[in-house]
Amino acid sequence: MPGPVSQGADLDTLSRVVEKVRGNIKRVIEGKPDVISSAITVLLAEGHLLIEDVPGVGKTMLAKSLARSIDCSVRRIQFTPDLLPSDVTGVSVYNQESREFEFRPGGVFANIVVGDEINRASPKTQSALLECMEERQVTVDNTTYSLEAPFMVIATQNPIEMEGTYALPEAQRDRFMVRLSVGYPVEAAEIAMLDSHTMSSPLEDLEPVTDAVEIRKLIEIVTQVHVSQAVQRYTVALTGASRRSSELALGASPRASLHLVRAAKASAAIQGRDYVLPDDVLGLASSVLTHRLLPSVEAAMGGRTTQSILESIVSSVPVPEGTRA
Amino acid sequence: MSGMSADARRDLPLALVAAATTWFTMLSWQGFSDLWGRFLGPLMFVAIVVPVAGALLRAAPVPRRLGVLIHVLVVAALVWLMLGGSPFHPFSSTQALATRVGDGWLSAQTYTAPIPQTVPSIAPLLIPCGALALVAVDVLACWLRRVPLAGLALLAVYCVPISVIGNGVSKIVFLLAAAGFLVMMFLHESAHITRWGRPLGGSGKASDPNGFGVRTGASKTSASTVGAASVVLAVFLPIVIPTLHLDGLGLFGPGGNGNGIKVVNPIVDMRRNLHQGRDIPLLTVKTDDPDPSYLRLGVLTVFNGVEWTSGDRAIIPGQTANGLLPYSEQGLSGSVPTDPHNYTITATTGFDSRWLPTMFPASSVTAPGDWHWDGTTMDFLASNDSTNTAGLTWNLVADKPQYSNFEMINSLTAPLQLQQQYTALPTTLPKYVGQLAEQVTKGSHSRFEQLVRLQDWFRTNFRYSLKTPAGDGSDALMRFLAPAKGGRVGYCEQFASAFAVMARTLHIPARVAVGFLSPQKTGKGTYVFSSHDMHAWPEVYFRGSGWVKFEPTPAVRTGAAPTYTTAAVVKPHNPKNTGPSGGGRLTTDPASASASKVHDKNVDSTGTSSSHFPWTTVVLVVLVLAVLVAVCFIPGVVRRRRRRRRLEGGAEDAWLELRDTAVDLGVAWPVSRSPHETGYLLSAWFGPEPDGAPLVRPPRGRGLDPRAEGALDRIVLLVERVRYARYADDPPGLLAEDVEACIAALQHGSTRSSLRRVQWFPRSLFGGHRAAARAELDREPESVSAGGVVDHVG
Repeated sequence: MPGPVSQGADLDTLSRVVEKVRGNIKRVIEGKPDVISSAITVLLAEGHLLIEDVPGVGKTMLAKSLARSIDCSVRRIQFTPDLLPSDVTGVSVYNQESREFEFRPGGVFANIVVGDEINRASPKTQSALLECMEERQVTVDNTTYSLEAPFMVIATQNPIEMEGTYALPEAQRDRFMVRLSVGYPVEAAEIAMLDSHTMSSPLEDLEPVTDAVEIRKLIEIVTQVHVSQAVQRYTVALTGASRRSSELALGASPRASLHLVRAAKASAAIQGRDYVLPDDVLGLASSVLTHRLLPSVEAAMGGRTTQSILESIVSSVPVPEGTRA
Repeated sequence: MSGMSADARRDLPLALVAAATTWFTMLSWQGFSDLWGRFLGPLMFVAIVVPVAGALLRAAPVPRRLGVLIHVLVVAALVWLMLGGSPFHPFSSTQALATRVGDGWLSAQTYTAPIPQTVPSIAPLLIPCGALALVAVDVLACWLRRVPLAGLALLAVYCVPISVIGNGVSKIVFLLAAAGFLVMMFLHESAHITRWGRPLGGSGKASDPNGFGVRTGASKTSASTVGAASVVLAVFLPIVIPTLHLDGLGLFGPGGNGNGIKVVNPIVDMRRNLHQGRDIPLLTVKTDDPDPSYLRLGVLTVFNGVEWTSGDRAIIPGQTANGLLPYSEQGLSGSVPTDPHNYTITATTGFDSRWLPTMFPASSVTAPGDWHWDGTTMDFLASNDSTNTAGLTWNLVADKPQYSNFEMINSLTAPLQLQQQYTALPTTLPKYVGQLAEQVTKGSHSRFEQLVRLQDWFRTNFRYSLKTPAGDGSDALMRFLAPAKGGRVGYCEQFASAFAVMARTLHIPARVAVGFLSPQKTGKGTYVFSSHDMHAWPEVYFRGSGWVKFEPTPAVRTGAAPTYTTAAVVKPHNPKNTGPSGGGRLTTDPASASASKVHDKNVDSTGTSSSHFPWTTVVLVVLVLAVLVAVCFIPGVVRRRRRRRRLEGGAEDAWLELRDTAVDLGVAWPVSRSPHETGYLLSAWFGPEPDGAPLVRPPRGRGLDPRAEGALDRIVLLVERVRYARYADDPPGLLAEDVEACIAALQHGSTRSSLRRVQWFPRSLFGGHRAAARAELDREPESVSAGGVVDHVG
């Protein structure tokens, strides 16, 4: 592990930048501070975000506003049934002039990739995204192209209107660090939205408040956040308990533990702490874990949701009283 | 927490009232013994221990069955300590306990109620019974919350004397028991009603702190009605079930009724009176004699092989009870010093006797009516049918001779006529009697020594019991003297008869006197003889000393033997009485000495009960109490020491102390909460600093004590840093003030009962937090319900 950095100053920078990004997005997305925080957390934790909600609640708006707040390359891929994998990853085209194959990068070659309605594409195309998301590289015609950091996929999907869609396979869902649900705004926020969005398009007016270089620095700061063995044990106890639960057919994977800790580190850093608390893990457990869990048939028939099963698991796992790590 | 403490709070008044009611009901047992304080006193102590121990056990987190078991064991240990003595010598104390219970059992089987004070007390039997009743009522009323059933237990306690003694108990006892039962019912009903919720319309502060939560008149009325109905049932049940007889063990002898006593044949009437269940006062004696015992009714002079009779009495004109009596007729020589005492005797109207009770020897008897004395026996018999003792008052002067055993040892044989008359025995008398008398008195140097040995033999080898076949004929005598099973047990009639017959086989003039043994002192110089005091004893003639009484009946009934039969032989300084030497020192049988001790223990020189205080028991009880109190204090002391040590420690110690304080006060502390979350929830239990004493329901919540909340935040922060941060300073004692502020705030938000419980029973010392931690300990071994999923990315 790298040595301690000047934590106080770095954390201040991080807080300042995060606050600016948050304020920027807030101009577009009214009344959803938790959702905005989660999105920023995923960005700083180098994860990918899956936004799942009904149409018209601002999924794409959130993705776009986050992308626009950062001065970096942003690409949007509208997933449709006829979208090909090469549209995502890129394709090698034969250049008759130079008599060579030239690689034309696909939509994934950007710092922030907004994958709209990802479940409308075929599984083949969805899978094309997998390697990029996990390994941050694209391999086309035996040539591997690295993706520039920061790299973040913000995918949206619609839980209704499932006709003609391809539900994301478990393996792909597992690659998203966090699944969010934007939800309907409260009445006052909705009225404020009417006010601001009818006069002009706030998204168009949005100016970047940071850039890719600074985000890379912030990500580096987040990696320095300390995770004690007690918190690590607690995280593993949580995911382990989900694997042992009789109400779940599929528990959380080790990747889920990793994502949980990384997200907790980003959360701690955003709150100005250079160490992770069990509260960070607890606060993120729901958004990091629920989309990876599969309830058993009995639990599903009994009306248990993954959320309620996870709550009972969390309440049964003792918080370690911890020794110094 | 609050439920438990509220239950405990409701419990104590009910338990105390239940114990008090049981004890009041046991006041009806007064009739069992003259010394009822011997068992009611210790039972009062038991009645204090039972409810307190019960309430403490119910407040403790033990299962109900285990609690009841511990409760019973505590009371059993207490009773054992009271009766057995030292807990440090279990073997000897068990022996002492067995001996005391055995003696009490013997007394209960031998005597009718009330058991006289001169015999071993029946307290060792009644104390365990009373303790059992107290525990039974407490278990029913408080552990099981079945107060009406406890009423049945009280009814049983109440019915015992009614069944055994045969008459009712005092109205005051009844009223106390009934009132107690009513209060028990009321408390039970009110607790039952308040369990539905807090009284409406009253503030928390105004609510009843003692659990008397019933506010409306209707509730009171219903509770009182139920109580009153139960009392009425308790009163009428014994009436409609007259056959309820609890004396299945045959204790307290046969019962009896009636208020009058008719005496025609003294020996027959004595037998009847001793067997009669009730002890009826018959004679009131006013005298300056400190020991007015052996008041004689009549003398039986003839043994015909079937019974002892008074023989033929010729009524000689002039020998009436109108003043001085001839000295010589009584066989007492002038050399025997006497100690005259005046007696005024009044018979109750129920005492209808043709024999006039008098002391022997007496120098003067003045009685109204036609009473004639017999020249040889000096007993007084009514000369006509209209004369009897009912309501009569008469005076006499008793001589109380100071017999000298030296003179009796050296006395000459009796005059021939007297010798012949008072040594006459029927020819049908079995030879065994004479042989036995010879065997027992073998080696004696004088007739007096023979008699002393005979008396000691009776007192040592025989057992006193009223439950033997009546009679004093040859057959009864053989049965009484035989060493076989069932023999050598009897009462005064058989002892006196056997002694006199055996004395006659040794050619010593003897006869049997019948009368009263020793009275009950009722005031200064005033004594009362009652029917159970009737007694028979032998009189033996010594020339010069006259008719001298001996006491073969064992000490359990009579106390010590006459002093002149046990004292060392001392030659009087009167030159006139010098005679042949050969007395020496009489051997005093150890049994006599122990009998004397028994007597001393029960009766002092004035014949009244001694006021021996059971110091040993009291000291033991005080010691046990001291140990119990010390044991009660130990948890509090340990807890305080632990707190002091932790306050000097680091953040983890501070957090542990905070956790234990919360657990002590009954605040939840689930293990699945992080320090931050725990701190947030804990602050909801903080109360404001009270102006006065802690309130019954103090306000609590966030914002009432900001200072403590700030302190709690600091504690949480440091704990988090120590546990989860890479580097953290954790200087010892840094958080002491903050922890103290939080503890104070928690205490300010707690009820009085919680605080009391924390003081005496801190849960954290008894694994109060382990239940919460069990979730982690009981974690199942590693087993994964689904696994091996391979993410294959194409």
